[in-house]
Amino acid sequence: MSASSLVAESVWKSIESTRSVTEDQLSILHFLFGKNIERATRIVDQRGVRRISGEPSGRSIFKVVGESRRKEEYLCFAENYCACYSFFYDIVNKGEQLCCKHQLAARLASALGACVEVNVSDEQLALLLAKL
Amino acid sequence: MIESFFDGNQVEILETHVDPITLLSGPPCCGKTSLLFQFAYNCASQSNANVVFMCNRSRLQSKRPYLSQSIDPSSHVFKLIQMKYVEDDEEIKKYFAAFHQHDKIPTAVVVDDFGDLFDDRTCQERYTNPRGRDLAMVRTLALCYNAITHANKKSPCKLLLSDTHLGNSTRLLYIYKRWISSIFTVKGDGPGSFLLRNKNYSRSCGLGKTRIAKYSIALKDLVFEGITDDNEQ
Repeated sequence: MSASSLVAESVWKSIESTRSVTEDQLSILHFLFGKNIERATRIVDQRGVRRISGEPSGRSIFKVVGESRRKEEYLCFAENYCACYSFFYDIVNKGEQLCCKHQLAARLASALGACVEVNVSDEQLALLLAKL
Repeated sequence: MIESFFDGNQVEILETHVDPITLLSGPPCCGKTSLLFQFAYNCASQSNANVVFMCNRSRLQSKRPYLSQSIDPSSHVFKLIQMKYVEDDEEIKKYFAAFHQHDKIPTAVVVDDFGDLFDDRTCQERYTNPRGRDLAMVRTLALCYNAITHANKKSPCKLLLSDTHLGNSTRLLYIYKRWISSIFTVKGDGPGSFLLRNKNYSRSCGLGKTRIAKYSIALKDLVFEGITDDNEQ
């Protein structure tokens, strides 16, 4: 893990422990992730992050609403995957950014406890994941 | 961890910290399947639990792996190794998508020739993208990572993938590195002889030494020939 990832992890952890985010923490996140963190906070404020959890296993995946007018939803594993265009091209291919805005929104919502929680059966989750 | 690719009678297999996901990358016909089989055998015998071995059926039948001499092919340990024959990446995705539904999680899952499961044409058509194959690999690796990480919350579970590369290293390393921190590479070292070396991309990189294991498959057995420390970093 790079130094940036380690710093980010400690910020997420402290947000999670207080279920709130301070100006200082936002500055650090902005320093690490740039404009994407602003876009992410907008998505979280609009309740655009859903966590879909399978019962009884507890395995989960996020569905995050995009910012385009079409309101597309992207399947996302917060730490290391998103179905959006930016993840594949900017992050995996060019290595230019650490996270796309949907991953950040998922991370932030999860730390704040601001996800819309959806519970499905393990079988339904498997069907959803198979279409990744 | 490098010892776990070889016979426990010839080299001591230490219980050190093991990364949950590992890649073994090497040129064609260098004994990768044999190393994978040895690894599966070691996992099954150490933990006395199920190991799932995924590969292409016809390829396995046309090129059977070599076991190390001291291993008895009729050993009860092989009963713990469950063969799962797969044809393409969709089947792998279905397996890991449903991984959380297992009653008993296997102690290890081994996938031979991971890269070969992704067909260029099929992937390009599926995603209507000329980089379809890379995209498919990203999605499948993310799914595997999530499945294994989730499984490890309940009981230890390892994933070992193998891939074939031509030339000095795999072009797809930039993709693999994102989800796999422990990567082993094989290099030729004379007829039938090979060197297995680990490259660690995880957080602890630099703290452990890089080690090189020498082995041979020249006489149709997997023969372990020694481990040295890597001097050229």
